Amino acid sequence: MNELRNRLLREDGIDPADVSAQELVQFRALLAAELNRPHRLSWIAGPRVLTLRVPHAVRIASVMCLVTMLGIAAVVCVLQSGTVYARALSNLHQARSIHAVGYGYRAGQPARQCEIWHLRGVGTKIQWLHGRQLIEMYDDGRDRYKYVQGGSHAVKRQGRGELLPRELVEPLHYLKDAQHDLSRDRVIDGDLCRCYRREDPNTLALMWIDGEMRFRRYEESRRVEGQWQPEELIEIRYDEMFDLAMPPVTFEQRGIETVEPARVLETRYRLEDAIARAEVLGLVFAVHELHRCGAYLILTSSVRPTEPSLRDLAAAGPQTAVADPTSYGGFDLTSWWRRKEDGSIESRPYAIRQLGQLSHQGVSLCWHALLPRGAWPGQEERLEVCAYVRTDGVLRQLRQQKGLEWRGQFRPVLTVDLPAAPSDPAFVGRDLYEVGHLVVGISRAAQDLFVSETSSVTPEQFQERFESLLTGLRPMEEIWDRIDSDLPLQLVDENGTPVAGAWLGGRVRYANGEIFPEPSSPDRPVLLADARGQVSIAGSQLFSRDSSRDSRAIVYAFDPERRLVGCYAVAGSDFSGPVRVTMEPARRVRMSFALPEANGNTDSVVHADVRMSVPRDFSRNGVLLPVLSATTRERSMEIPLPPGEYTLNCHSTHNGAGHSAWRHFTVPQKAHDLDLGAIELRP
Amino acid sequence: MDPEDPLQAVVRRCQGGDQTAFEELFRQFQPRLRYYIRRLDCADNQVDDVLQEVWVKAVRGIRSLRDRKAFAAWLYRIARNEVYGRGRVADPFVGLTEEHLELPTHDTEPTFSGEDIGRLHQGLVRLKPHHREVLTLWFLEELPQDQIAQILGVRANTVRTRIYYAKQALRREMEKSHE
Repeated sequence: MNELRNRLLREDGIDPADVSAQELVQFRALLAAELNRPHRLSWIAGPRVLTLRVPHAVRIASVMCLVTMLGIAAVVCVLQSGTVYARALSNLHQARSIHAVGYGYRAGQPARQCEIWHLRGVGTKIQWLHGRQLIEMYDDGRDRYKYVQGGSHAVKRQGRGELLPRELVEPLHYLKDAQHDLSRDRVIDGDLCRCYRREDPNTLALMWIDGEMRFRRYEESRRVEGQWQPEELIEIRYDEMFDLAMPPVTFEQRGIETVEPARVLETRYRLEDAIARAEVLGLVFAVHELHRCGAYLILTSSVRPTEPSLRDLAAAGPQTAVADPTSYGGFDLTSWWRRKEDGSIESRPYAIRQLGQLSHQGVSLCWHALLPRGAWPGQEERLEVCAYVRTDGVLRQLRQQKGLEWRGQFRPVLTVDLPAAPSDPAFVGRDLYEVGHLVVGISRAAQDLFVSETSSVTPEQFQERFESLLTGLRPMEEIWDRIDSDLPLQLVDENGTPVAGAWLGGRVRYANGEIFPEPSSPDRPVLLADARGQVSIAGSQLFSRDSSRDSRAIVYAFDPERRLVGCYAVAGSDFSGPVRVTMEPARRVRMSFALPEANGNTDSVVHADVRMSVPRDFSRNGVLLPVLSATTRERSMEIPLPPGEYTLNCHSTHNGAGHSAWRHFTVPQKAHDLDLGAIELRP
Repeated sequence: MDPEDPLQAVVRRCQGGDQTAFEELFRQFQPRLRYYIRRLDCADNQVDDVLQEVWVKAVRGIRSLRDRKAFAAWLYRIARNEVYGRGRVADPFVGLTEEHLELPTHDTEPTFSGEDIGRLHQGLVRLKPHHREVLTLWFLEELPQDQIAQILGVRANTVRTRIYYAKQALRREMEKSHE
């Protein structure tokens, strides 16, 4: 009979004599987990209970009660059993304590990135590494606190009412359409865990669930060039003992001040303290702050519902309460103009740039930079704030139902006096930097200028960005009429002697460590200086009327041997006369690049952008003008550059992962070649 | 006292927590369990899951097994419950009219040998589920009828009748494929 059995098994493709090595490994894991499993229940024999004489009717009633109760219990069990996902999620919510550690991957090795502590009924603490900054986040169900270690204050905002962090809940969603992958089952901390696998073309998610249906481990990989590369790993433990000190106590103990952005902003931009306000379309338009930085105006203004509008909104229903974070209106600033009696138009045009915005508790706040285009405000020293104002949401519906206007162009909506004293751009920039932290502490909307304190942007970098945005407002109209003219230059050597035959151009090309003049088009050859060293370049080769850049441009000069001898920033004012430029040989700037090689980066391409910092009249920071873009597969580079202030931006992309580095450097006058050393490109 | 057969000895060692004994049991029964579970119309992609659950339950429960001689029946019972428990389907082996029939006294039961194993296996696959299961257990383990009855949750007499008619049906299936 054994022979018959064995042949039957073979007929079904089964080896009757033994099991596969994989099966055995899995069984051993199962066995280890089960044999080492603590006895959760111990059987205690109960004493015999007295037997009572019970009337027959009572017995029947008792049995019926028991049956009913068992039935209800069975229904509850069926309803609660649900899917693996539902049970794992439910167990996550019901866990007394959770301690999870998240890892990212660097060069194929897991690196600790995030740690989570959760105590049911108390709250959650998350600590994660953002770049080189360690950030703490606390959530007690009502409020959220974020603190960047090393900082002086923590930011408090309204919580989402969810104690469990998304970092744990979101990966579980993959369980909904995952399949059990028996081959990946494993023992985790003594418990046999089933692996569930969910795969799409780009992402592979593996989730391990233990016998008590608890989420124990998560791995996520991304497909790169046909191979799965690990990206994320989370290990989760339950019922560990730990203390969780929550804010405000934990911050008080450490001397950290807690700041509530919403309250600070509400206080700072109170309607009662506004410089000026006007009611339009059921909204109050208010100007809160106005600074004059050189030619620029920095304006903070808001719209919010008027008192009658608030009453209408309250009457319309609870869903329209002002606690709703959406705004009830918005606005765009515009220039001022009017038609005079003779039919001609009088105008005061502005270049306008929104720096940031926030909608919170029914108030819409905006930060703008304005640059007057023309010779005004002149003596009048006032600003007509013109705006296209619109109502939004329920307020718009209410106005439409009443047949009222819900949008309109107001020229002006109100007029304010300009500040007599100018403000220091550095002071305004620093103030905006702080305001930005508050704004992004509340709003998640992308901002042109405002960045969070976790973005690693230093106040100096922020200031540079701020002034760069201001520069972007400088009107090309300044040289509008001159773009088609020629810009005359005279090239002289260090002794003042004209350099005949010198080359001049607005474009260059980098190759093999050298920079070469490049014609801007086939019909526009590179220019040569005459015997007096004079040469003219068409304004259109340097400037474009469509450009939003500063009205400055770089011209490149080469000696007759085509060696770069100068990069000069020319401006609109240079059109009026020959610009005398002294040619000084460029220095050779060397640098090497350090990339994470272990990740297969040996064939990465490095892109380097060099910009020249040119001084400006109203700021300590210079404007950055692009000088050169170069690409190399080598791990080092050499660039000839004339004396000056430069910034270098390097970046490299490999397998979808970006690495970059930034460096400021100076090529000094009368210096030898410069070695920047190793530039480390980081993720 | 009956002498202890080798399987009982292994089971006893398992009850004492001997890991090597568990491995012996696993090596011995895993292939047969696989064959049995497949014959229960378990979906191919669920067979490994079922087997894993069977062994988890077996390892957890073996200490409570009092009759070590009945180990095989106990193990197959776990497997059967696991298959029908997973799909939450009603036991298909109910309401069989033939089980109420008397067995013919003069008729001899067909016998099967390994010579025609291909047709035997194919015939088994084509049988009705209740015939297929009872014969599978009979071929695999030669279990006594009372133990098969424990596995199936039916009376021993029912097992006897079912095996008889299952063999007749299998013989007919094998003859059909021969024609």
